[in-house]
This record gives sequence, structure tokens and C-alpha cells, in this order.
Amino acid sequence: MEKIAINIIDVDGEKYAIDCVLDPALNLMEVVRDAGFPIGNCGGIALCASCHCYIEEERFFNLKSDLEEDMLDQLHDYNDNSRLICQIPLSEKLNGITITLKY
Amino acid sequence: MIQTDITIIGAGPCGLFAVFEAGLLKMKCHLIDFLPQPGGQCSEIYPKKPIYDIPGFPEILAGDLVDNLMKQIAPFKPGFTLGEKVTEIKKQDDNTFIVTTNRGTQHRSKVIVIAAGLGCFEPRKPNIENLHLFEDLGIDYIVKDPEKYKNKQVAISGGGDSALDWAIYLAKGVASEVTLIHRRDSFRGHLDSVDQINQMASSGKINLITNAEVTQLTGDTVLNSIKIKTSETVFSKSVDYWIPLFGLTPRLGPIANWDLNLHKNSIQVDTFDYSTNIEGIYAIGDINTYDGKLNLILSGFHEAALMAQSAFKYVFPEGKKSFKYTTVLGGIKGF
Ligand SMILES: Cc1cc2nc3c(=O)[nH]c(=O)nc-3n(C[C@H](O)[C@H](O)[C@H](O)COP(=O)(O)OP(=O)(O)OC[C@H]3O[C@@H](n4cnc5c(N)ncnc54)[C@H](O)[C@@H]3O)c2cc1C
Ligand code: FES
Repeated sequence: MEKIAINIIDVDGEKYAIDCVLDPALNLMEVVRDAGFPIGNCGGIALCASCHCYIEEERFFNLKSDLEEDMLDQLHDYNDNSRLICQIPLSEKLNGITITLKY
Repeated sequence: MIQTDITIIGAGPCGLFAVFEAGLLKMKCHLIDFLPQPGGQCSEIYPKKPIYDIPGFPEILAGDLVDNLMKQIAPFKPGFTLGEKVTEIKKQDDNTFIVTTNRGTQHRSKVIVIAAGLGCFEPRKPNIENLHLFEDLGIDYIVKDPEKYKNKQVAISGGGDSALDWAIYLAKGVASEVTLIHRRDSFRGHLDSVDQINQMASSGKINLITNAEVTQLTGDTVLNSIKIKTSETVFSKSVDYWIPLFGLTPRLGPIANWDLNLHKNSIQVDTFDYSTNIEGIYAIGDINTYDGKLNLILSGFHEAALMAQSAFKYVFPEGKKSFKYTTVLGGIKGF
């Protein structure tokens, strides 16, 4: 399977780059969690916001579901770049994405 | 000082079931949790979601599972210290432990069971410079005792159900004034609550301020006023209390300082009895780790049963126990 590159900035501003296999059954939270970042408390059902990230590039966005909007709406640091990355399925569109972890 | 046989840190499903297993062996338990209610992740994150892998229940709501556990352990009369965070564990010369919370409540017991899940649920805090100065001195992150706000000026921030529900509750004759501040112009809580908020705002029972956030706090020793920034203006509002309700999220917190062997934020245990590296301290449920560990409620229940057998020997070194089925016991004899 193809691989894609993901750039991660953690809560302390440290930068990391990971490569992951493009498995469409996975979402972005799962690959970031598997790379050792402590996110994904609710297992990926938009209920905990541990996977809240800022993503600058809009082209990466699939539409937010009501469930995701409901969860984001409760956060004080929600802005237009906010996403719960468990709600973003892996796709080649994500290659080169930079995400800033908020948790 | 609260005295008991076993102090359980964390009142999630595994901590609750530990009371049952300990109770069968005549050991009394006291649970401590930062959440104002028992149930851990089940009650805080997903009370209305069905769980499908609890043996004997093809489907059960997480909230109902917690209610059932509370019923199941009631005969053993567990004590609860809720809304407090355990900050310190100290072993005494007589080998008992004293467990102290952030509010100074002390608990003495021979055994400690850490059932702390993913960590202590802690509030998501807004980024305001002097926030810490007013914590507990006008700022509350959870509502533990609503009567405290009787005839007080209260501001609540947040857009979720808990912000809406508490605003409605406090505006119905408890607080003298309720202001609800939300970053956006609409609410996404339950439709009923949103309707009620809008009605109470039109009739002047709640000051509703949307597209707004609190940006500054002032007060001498206690909070007196908050600065509110809206899309149009900035103004100060005098308050007795500000309650920012942006949800809770688990953090390992003080557990890291208790000299326990940790692996990636989890406590390493011996699978013989789920004991830790410190004699008398056990760890069960999501907080522990061992080869093959699964973070499932089912696994935590099993761990609670084996822990209790081992803890018995520690609590009653001279005591004799014989393993009996609950069916053979002919019912549960509590305390
Ligand atoms: C959305 C979701 C769905 C899930 N679905 C399932 C499922 O289908 N089946 C299943 O088996 N499991 C499921 N789980 C996992 C399950 O909920 C956990 O395994 C279970 O809650 C673990 O229980 P626990 O008692 O170990 O810890 P928790 O439920 O995490 O409770 C721990 C408690 O300890 C408290 N605590 C921690 N440290 C301190 C401290 N220092 N002072 C005071 N209090 C403290 C915390 O505040 C918390 O309330 C799900 C979890 C989530 C989030
Ligand atoms: S993993 Fe919980 S919201 Fe994404």
C-alpha cells in the first residue's frame, strides 16, 4: 500500500514527521495515536476532543458532521481551523498535511 | 480522618466493582473521585451510548451500567469523597497509608486500589493569565453544591449541555443573577434546553451574551469582576462566581509522583493479583498495564476480583477465607 507523510506539531511546539500506510479503514487520529501521541480517549467517535487539532490547509477538510461540531462547540479554543482528526479518514489528499495537536 | 480497609482512587466502573469483590470478603471501601458523580468515563464521556460487550447484557447504556453497579455495591455501604482529587499518598510507620486530596481530606487504610482509568478528569481551562489566582476563590470548574450560589451573581461560560443545564437551574430561584457567555451565536445542546435558554433570555431571567468570551479577571483576594469581549465591544461585569464549563478531560496528574513503576502513563502490575511495586497498593482497570492488557470494563472487573483475594491477606493477615459462589452464600450480606 502507498504511504503518506504527516507533519505533527505537539502541544509544546515540537515538530515531528511520520509516514504511514494509506489504509482507508483508518482515520488520522489512529495513525497519530499509533505513532505514540496520547490522543484518542473515546476511540474515535467525536466524544472526547482529545484529538482536537488545528489544520491550516482547508483543502484537507472533509465536511464536519453535526456530532463533530457539537463536540468542538464545547471547547474554549475552537476556531475555524479546528478539527477532531478522528473524523478525518486517511486519503492521499492528506499527504504532506501539518496538524497542530491541542491536547 | 476517614478510616476504611481499602481506599479506592477512582470511582469508574472498575473502582465501583472493586467495592463488591472486597465486600464479599468483608472489607470496607471508600472511593475518591474528582468527578462530582460516580461512573468515570461511562458517566462523563458516554452515559447515553450502548455498550455491547458486558457479559450477560446484550446491550446496556453506559449510564445504566453505572446505576446497576451502584445498586450492586449498596449493601457494602461504600463511602465517597467526590469532587476532590487525590494529590498525595504517604505510607505510615504502621504500614497503613494516608491518602490526601487537594482539599485536605484524609483517608487512612491498609490497602490502596488505584482505579484511575485514563487519569483524573480535569477541567479544560481557558487561557487567561491570572486564572489560577481565583480558582476556588470565585472560579469553579464543576458544580458540586448548587446552594453555594444562592443569591449570588453567577456567570457561566460554555456552549454544551452542562453549561445550559446549570444556567437554567441556577436561574430558577437559586442565583440572584445568571449570565451565560458563549463563543458562538448558537447553541448545540439539547433542543429543549436551547429553547428554555432563549425563553429565559427574552424574559430577562438569564443575561445571554453570545459571540463573546471572558478575557480578564479582577479581584483582590476573591474574584469580583470579569471582562467580557464580544464581537463589538469589551466590558466588565461584576460577579461573585464564574463557572467556565468547557468539559473535562483525563490527565495522569499526581499519580506520576507516587513512586510507582510506570510505562507510558500506565501503572505496571503483576498479573497474579494486580499489585504494583509498592506493597499494599494495587492498580486495576484502564490505569494498569501488562502484556496483553485490554482497556475493557470486562478486564477491569476480572482484575478487581483477583485484587480483592490478595488484598484480603494484607488486610486480615490472620484471617481465613474460603472461596464461595454468591449463589452458595444465598444472597449478599452487607455491612
Ligand atoms: C466513548 C467510549 C466508549 C467505550 N466503549 C466501551 C465498550 O463498548 N466496552 C468496554 O468494555 N469499554 C468501553 N470503553 C472503555 C471503558 O469505558 C473503560 O475501560 C472504563 O471506563 C475503565 O474504567 P476504570 O474504572 O478503569 O476508569 P475510568 O472509567 O476512567 O474512571 C477513572 C476515574 O478515576 C478518577 N481519577 C483518576 N485519578 C484521580 C485522582 N488523582 N483523584 C481523584 N480521582 C481520580 C477519574 O476522574 C475517573 O472518574 C469505552 C470508553 C469510551 C470513552
Ligand atoms: S478520539 Fe475522541 S474525539 Fe476524536
